[in-house]
Amino acid sequence: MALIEYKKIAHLREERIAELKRLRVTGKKVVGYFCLYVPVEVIQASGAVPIRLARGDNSAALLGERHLRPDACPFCKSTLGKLTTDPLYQLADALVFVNTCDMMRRLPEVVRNVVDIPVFQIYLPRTAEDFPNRLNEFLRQLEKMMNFLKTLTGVDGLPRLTSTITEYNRLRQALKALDETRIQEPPPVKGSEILDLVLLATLLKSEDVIELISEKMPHQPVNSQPALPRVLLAGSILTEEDRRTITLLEKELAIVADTICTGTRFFTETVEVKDDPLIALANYYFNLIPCAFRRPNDRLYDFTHKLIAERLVQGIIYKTLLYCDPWRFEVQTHRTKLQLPVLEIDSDYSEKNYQQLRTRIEAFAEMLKSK
Amino acid sequence: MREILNPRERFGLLVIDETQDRVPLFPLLTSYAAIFVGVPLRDYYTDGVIMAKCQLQSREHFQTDFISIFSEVGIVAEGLGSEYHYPENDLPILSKPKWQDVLTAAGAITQKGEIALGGRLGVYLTAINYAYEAIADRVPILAYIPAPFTTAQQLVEPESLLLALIENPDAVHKLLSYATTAVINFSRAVIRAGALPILVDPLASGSVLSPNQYRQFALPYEKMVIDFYHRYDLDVVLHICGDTTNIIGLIPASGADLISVDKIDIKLALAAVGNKVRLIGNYDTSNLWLTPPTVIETQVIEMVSLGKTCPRGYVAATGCEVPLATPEENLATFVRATKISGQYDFPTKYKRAVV
Amino acid sequence: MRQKDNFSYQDPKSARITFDEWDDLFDQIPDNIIEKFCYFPPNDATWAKYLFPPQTFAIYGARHLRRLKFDNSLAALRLWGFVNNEVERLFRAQQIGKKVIAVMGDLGPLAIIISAFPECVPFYPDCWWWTPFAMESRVLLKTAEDLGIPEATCYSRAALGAFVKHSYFPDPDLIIAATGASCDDYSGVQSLVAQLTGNVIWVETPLRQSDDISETIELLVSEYHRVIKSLEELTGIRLTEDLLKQAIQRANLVRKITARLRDLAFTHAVFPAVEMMLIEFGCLHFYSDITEWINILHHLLNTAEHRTRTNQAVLPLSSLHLAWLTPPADPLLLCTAEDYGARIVATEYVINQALAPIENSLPPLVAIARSHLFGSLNGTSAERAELLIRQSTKNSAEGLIISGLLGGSHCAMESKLIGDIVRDRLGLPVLEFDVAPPNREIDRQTLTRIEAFMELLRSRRCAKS
Repeated sequence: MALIEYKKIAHLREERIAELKRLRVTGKKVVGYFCLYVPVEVIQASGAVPIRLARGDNSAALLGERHLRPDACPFCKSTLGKLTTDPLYQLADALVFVNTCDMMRRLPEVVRNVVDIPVFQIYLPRTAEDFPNRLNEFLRQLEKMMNFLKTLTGVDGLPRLTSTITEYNRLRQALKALDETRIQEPPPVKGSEILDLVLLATLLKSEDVIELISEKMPHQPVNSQPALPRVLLAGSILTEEDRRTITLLEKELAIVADTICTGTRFFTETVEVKDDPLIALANYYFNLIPCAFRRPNDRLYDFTHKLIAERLVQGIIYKTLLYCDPWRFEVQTHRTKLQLPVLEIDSDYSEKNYQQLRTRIEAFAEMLKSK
Repeated sequence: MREILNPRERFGLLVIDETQDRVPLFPLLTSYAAIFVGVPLRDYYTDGVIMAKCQLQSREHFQTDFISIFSEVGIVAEGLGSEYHYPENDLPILSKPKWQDVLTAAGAITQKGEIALGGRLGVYLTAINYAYEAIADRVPILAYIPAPFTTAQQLVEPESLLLALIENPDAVHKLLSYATTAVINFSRAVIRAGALPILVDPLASGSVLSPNQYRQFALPYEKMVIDFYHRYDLDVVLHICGDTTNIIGLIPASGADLISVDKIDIKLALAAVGNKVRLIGNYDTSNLWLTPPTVIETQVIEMVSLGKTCPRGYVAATGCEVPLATPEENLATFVRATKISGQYDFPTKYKRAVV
Repeated sequence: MRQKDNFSYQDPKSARITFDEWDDLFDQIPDNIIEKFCYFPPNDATWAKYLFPPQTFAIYGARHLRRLKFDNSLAALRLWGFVNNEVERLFRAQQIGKKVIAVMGDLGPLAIIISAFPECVPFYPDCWWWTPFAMESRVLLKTAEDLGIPEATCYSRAALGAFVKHSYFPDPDLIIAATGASCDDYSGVQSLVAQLTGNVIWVETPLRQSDDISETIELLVSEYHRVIKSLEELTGIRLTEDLLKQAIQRANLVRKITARLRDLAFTHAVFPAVEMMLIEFGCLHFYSDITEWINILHHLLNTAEHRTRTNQAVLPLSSLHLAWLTPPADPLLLCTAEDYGARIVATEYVINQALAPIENSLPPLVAIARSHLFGSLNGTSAERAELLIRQSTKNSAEGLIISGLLGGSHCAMESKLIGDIVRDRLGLPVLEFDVAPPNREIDRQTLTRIEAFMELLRSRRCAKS
């Protein structure tokens, strides 16, 4: 029995898209972003609606190949395709990027050839040791972002920043509380459901998502079923369409933890405001559990170790996009540091090897059961 | 046992005076390769592709560190006109030297400059090319070049040369200069083909020459050839098999960077030249052929343990070519024992390779 | 007209020659000239000589030299010998007490700071991406793959293989990894090197946002201070402003001569493209010996100027004019283009930060930071395209070749972006291909495409005239 029926989730998304269309007519600005490192609080406090554009499918990717080489990141290709075809993407009045990997860093240049809307790129230092010079630079970038948004919306975001941070903290806490039920055996919440909710949380209003979670929060253990092997999901960004692969995984495995940016890393920590909210945000986002592209990225492994211990994880599902170098370079380190079996899956959103994947997942599950 | 370095990398460190992962392994696995693979010897030394394939196959099997392109020491002399008989199952045999005696040779020699070479240089070059294209990124290709004195011995009746050392030294020197030019020409072709020349001078050993004769008639011409190799900054191996006890102290004057020894106490060799040159050697080939593996293992371990202490560096080798009748297990034992006892503390800095 | 400063040796008429022809020529070079040149001068150690022909290095594994064509000047032989000798030179550096510092990723600026410290030798393991091609070998690539680096990535993964093997350069005394607005593939390599060695200093290479330079420069200068602190701890030497200024002066001299050589090569075809690529890359870390590298550059310049004065182009000036984006991992591609009747008149080899002069009027670290920030990869692809467009216009390029690699992170985005910009702005045909893995020859498909591209350029030239 699903926590929230997938049909309901799809319905909520459609409703929200319709709502945003109406809001735009009234002058409300919608700002699309792609990356977890974008401070959504700043967007919302500046009077715009932040929506995370995290969709990827094969037909959009093929469209995107008009602008990029075939060996470019499928997510980037799909983004380009969707900017002119997906109603959600077409809502964006502006786009905010972060210079994460090579491809995302250059995407704004290509986007300018595809749509004519304002684009802002935040420079996040790739090096993750929080030395003052780097933090100061990132803070300066957030100030620039605020100015960009003020030009777009006419609203100075600073006065409302603290309250927006509080709101998002509550959202993160709600998601975290739900996520932590996955410690149980069997877990009352599926990994796919957490992913659905996180993606929903980056589209809907925070209070709506908090309310949804509190309605659906499981209060008692689920009826026992044969225990499935417990796995952790790691790797590149997972989009709505990746759900099909996740569903396939969940036939054989229980995804009890993840380190995905459209999953646990969105909510596992909250922003701590001491004096200046913008400084608080700069600290928070700079020091997020790192994406694989950051250097060094030891904290990602520390976090993963913690989850493995806490959630009694037996194996790792390492799902990456084809040509996603930041994550694909880290798979061996995942093997050696985490000392667990790893099933590698890569995807370019096409479904050509679905049967083979099913077989591989079954074999992996069997192997975990036999240990 | 998976090793960090391949033979190319290992040899590369040796010749720039850096610690390797283990002692390089060099049983002189030459014509033995034909026996191991099961081809007639005549095919081996008359067909360069067959020679190369036999070398590649045996190296792959025994996991040694070099490819050896070589058949016998008459190859330059044959190229100059001495005649050889090719038995099917034996190495070429000198049937008629180019000249009857040294005086006749000296009278006939007029050429200066480049000397055209016939014979089986083409076989050598084909073998080198084949092996080079196959494996030279990972394994050094060595081509054995007979030194001038050894070559000269094959250009005239052997007794004639030995007598002439005393009776007609000037004529000998003229012959040796001619041989040197030929050896250098031969070497140039080998160098262009991609092999590292290893100079072999078996007929200059203490078994044949007195130290004084070595100093007068072999050493200067070895040096000329080695000087030529040094123009290319090549790391030159000089191999003199037989008893070199009485000339070991002289050999470094040839300029050789690595000295391959045979019938000499390794401790003596170490003491005499270990600070000047890298030492190669020197497991007794009769023992390799005839002794049981357990004994070989003990002896090789002892040899390698001593050889490793050579300050300039050491290569574990047989004293001379692996005898044709050597049991496979014996050679495998030599290799195994060397690898076990020849480990160095490597790498010297970070060791956390997760390979 | 004799060429001055050619050490009493008369170069033959300028030509591109084969591997075997170079051996014939080498025979003419007297011993005293071979003895003359050494690295870490003054130095009379026998190991310090480097004037050796391609045959030498081919014997020690550099198989690809047998396929290339070479410039036939003594200066070029010196260049080749010096470059090919670098592995040994790094080991010898450590043997004689120098500190060998591996610096990764920034390709130029940090090497200047390191070279300001006496007895410190910086080098970029990044440049070992050519080693698999030079040796026609997959050894380093396979070693990297065994450590989990996927096959469809930049050949710079060879650098990780080299670290693991401990035999392509000495274990460095310090490792500095600059990452940021650089290259993901190489950043992945850096991450694995950090796992391997357990001790890497990370340096941020900032994104260049064109409206906003000064604060980013401040960020970089702070990064440099950390690097300097580590170097001071390692060497026991305090870095003074004078030492830094001298280092900049030396680097600027290298850059100045290189700029002049590029100009002469592009306009007067004084040297072929492979030699020019080696010369450009000499600006990165001076092949681990800046003193001798400067001597070689002077020699090359003398030869180039002599050739210019005496109208000795090494390629016909009427050859098709090509621009080239991103250095080809396989240098045989450059020879091939020349064999097919082209010559390179414009290059953008991802190393603008190592070529542009460092401003003397600014405080030294600020000046270095500025040159760092104006690196090829720090800004947008459009800005990188501008670097190429300027040269292509000046030297009348007729076509652009973009050599990328399958799965190379920035290639996947930039190739098309830059190709489109150049096509639109200059109307030049663009040929883009991925460099195939190391092999003896260029693969048939690429050869056919290059040939067809040259035909196209020829027919366009005919149509214009």
